[in-house]
This record gives sequence, structure tokens and C-alpha cells, in this order.
Amino acid sequence: MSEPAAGRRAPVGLFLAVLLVAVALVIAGALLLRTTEPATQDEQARAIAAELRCPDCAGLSVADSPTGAAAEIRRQIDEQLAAGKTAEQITASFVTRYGDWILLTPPGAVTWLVPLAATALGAAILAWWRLGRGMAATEPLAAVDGPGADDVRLSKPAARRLAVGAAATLVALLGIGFLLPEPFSLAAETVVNQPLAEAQAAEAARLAEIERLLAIIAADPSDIASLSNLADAYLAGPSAEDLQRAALTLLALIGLEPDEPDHYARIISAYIRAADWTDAAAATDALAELAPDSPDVPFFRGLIAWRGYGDAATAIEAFDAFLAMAPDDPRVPMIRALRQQAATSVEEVR
Amino acid sequence: MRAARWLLVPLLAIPLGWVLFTGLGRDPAEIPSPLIGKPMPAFSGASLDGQTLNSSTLAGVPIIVNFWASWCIPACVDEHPILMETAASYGDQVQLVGILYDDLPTDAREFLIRYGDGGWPHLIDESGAVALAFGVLGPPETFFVDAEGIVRAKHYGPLTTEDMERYLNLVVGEAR
Repeated sequence: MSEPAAGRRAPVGLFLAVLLVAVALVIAGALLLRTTEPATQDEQARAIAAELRCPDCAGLSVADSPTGAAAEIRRQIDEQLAAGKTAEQITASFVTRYGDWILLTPPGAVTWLVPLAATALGAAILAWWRLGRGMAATEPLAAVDGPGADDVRLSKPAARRLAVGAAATLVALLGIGFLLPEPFSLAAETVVNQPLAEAQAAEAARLAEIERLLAIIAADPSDIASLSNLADAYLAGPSAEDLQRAALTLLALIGLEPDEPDHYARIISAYIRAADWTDAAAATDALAELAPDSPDVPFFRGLIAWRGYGDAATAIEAFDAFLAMAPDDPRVPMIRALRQQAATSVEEVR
Repeated sequence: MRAARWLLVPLLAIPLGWVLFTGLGRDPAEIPSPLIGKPMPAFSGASLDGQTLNSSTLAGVPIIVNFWASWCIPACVDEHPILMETAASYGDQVQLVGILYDDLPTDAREFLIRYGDGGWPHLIDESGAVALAFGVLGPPETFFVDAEGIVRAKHYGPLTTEDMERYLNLVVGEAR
């Protein structure tokens, strides 16, 4: 299709055909290059980050962005690469959350072929147009289009060759597009919901730890360190049942070490989280006897009064006691906020 | 022959113009969330009140997950009373969860003291991993999750009372 027409030259057809083939080669080359894997893990991470749009800044890639979200994405890319994930899997893990939006280069070779297909179509229409004009003119060499117009005008066989050539190029491009491996496989079913998977892994680790500790405690029921760890493992659990087991474990610990305020503090938080206000109040009373100067006592008293019983007056009194006892405690802002809440509710009642 | 060729112009121009014109009507900020219809990403971590917040403890009730920040002014301030109102009116049917977006816990607590603390928990999400899991672009963004844990809707920007009504119907149902 690129050979000149015998006898009469067809420069435009030749030019367009060569141009189309050249563009096709460039695109095919670019698409092939895209699938080659970078050598080191850092390069790989950088390559993946460069293809992702930064979520909270306009027009920058994750690789080039200084924001916290971009930093977290880069960290997760490193983590997933270290875990042996492929670039496709990692990219897909972000697409499940943000959609194709996060991809700086649209997925699939077809997107890239659309402009080329449009160009080919345009060339074909142009050729048809010029051919029609050529036929309409009674005298092909008449200077209707000014000097050199005869060079632009195509002979009938040349135009046919051009049309066939353009069609063949289009088919070839589409063929290349479909034969190339898709840069990204984005089937929704196959991608991993990373945070969920992480949470499941953490939960499995917690359950395994509980198994391990239960085995140790079965052998030695007075192993205080293991009981304490078991209570923490239950407290980290998701269900009300976990909280119940934590409370039971802490009761066993209190049985073994009745003078350890930390056991009481933990059992009170377990009761509060389970909304068991009666037991929480009873355990707080026990803690108050044991450690009357602990800021935990007014802390829990206030929480129970406010969250459990909506008793603003008692809660404010307890919160004030806590703030006076432990002005540098990390829980101060939270208690201030709760005190404010309680105070507002008192004003509303009035 | 000539007429047939001129026919090409509207044949190409009209569909092309239509594509471009309908594109103009779309809000570029409205990026459809791929999470709709999918299970909510799990999360767990420290909350503002010093407790641990684990998404699996929230199972069984519809959840409103609100990404916010104390620096997100005025949008987060504007929608705060609507969230407070929802917590007060529908607190027994829906669980609100705040998740800080790129914010300091001290600043967030100050915000709550200033604009009111509705009592629902706020995850600190220091690394931003939870925001990433939800595909958050910037606060405020709110996700509405039904009792089965499926994300039903995502709202960009501050919520209005009408938005809240609409989304609540979606996750709580007309039964309320």
C-alpha cells in the first residue's frame, strides 16, 4: 500500500499511508514498552506510583505528590511489592477503591486506538472527498484549485489504494490492540480488598494468639502474664462475646491479684464498652477502695454517669475531679469535651 | 454526489457535539465510587476518646461513615449540625462514625468542643489508610452503609438535611 502508483504519482496517498504505518509502529512500540517490568523494587514502586493520580491534589501523580494520602499510597505500594504482589494486582487494589479515575493512563489498548481510528476514518473521508471532486471536474488539469492542485488530486486507482490502505491499517491497529496483553486486568471479582484482607489477617493472628495463651493457661492457670495478655487479646476483639470473655479473664486475674488497680481499670473499660453500667459502677467502686487517689476513679465514674445514665450533674462533678487530679493526662481533651456536652445538656433542660 | 458528501458534516458533527455537550453537564467532582454495592472496607484503630474502634463491632446496624477534618472549613462546620441532628433523632437506628482526614487529634477535639460532640466515635486514622480504603478524595465525604454492611451511597461535600433524609431512607428504609 505504500508503493507509489505506477505511471501517475499519488503523493498524498503515499504520505498518509506512510504516516499511518509510522504512527501505528510508534503506538505499538509504546504499548509494548509499557508492559516491560522495571528492574529493582524501587523502580517498580516508582513506576506504579507514576501511573496513579494523587487523590487530594490536582493533576499530580502519586510519585510526584507531597500529600499524606500520596505518601500512604506509596507506602502501601512498597508493602504490597514486598509481599510479592504484581504491579497489576497493586494497581487494581487502588482501582477497587477509587475506580478508573485514579489511573493517569486510561486502561486498555482500545482507548489509545480511538484517536488513531478517528484519524484513519478522517483520512478515508478526505480521500473520498478529493476523489469525488476529481471526478466532478471535466478537465483534471484545470487550475480550479490554484497552482499545484493536480498534485493533490488523486487518480481513481490511487484513491482506491489509499482507501484499502487506510482500512488495512485500521484493521492492523485493532489487531495489535487486541493481541497486546491488557495493561491492567481490572475484573472486579479478582481484586483484593486490601484493608479488609489486612483486618482479616489481624483477626486471624488475634485468634491464634488466644489459642496459644489458652494452651499456656490450661497448663498453668495462675500464669498472670499470660492471663493479662489474654485479657488484652479479648479486649481487642470485635464482638460482645470477646468483651464478656475479657471480663471473665480479668475477674480471674483480680482473683489472683486483688490489689492490682490495672486489672480493675481494664475490666471497667470492658464493662463500659459492653454498656454494662451496673457492673462498671460496681468495679469502679472496688477500684476506688483500692486506689482512692487514682484519676481513673473519677474518669470512669464520670463516663458511667454521663454515657450510662445521662446524669449530667454527677458526671460534671466527676469530670471536674478528674481534671483537677490529672491535668496532664492524655484523656483530658476527651473529658473536657464530654464535660461541655453534659454542661450543655443541663442548660438545655433549664 | 456533492449533497451526499455535505451530509457527512452534520452526520459527524452532531454526534460529536452531543458527546462534548453532555460531557459539559457533568460535575467533574462527582466521581462514581466503585465501593457502591460492595462491602464496606473494614477498619480498626484508636479513636478520639482513647478507645479502640473496630468496624466489625458495628455489624448489624446501618452505619454513616463521615470523613472530616477540623481544617475543613466551612464545609465540615456546615454539615456538623445535620450530623448532630441525625445522631439525636436516629441514633438508635443508625451508627455514626467519624473518621479524621489528615487531622491532628487535638485539633479535632477542639472542633468537637467548639461545634458540639454528638457522642459518636471518631477514628484518628493517622496514616490515612482508612481514607484510602474508602477512596476518599477530601473531606467532607460521607458513606452510607446498610445493616448488611454494604455501601449504598457516597456523598461528596457537605450534607444538607435533604441529602441526609434521602440517604437515610436508603440505608434505614421507610420503616423508621
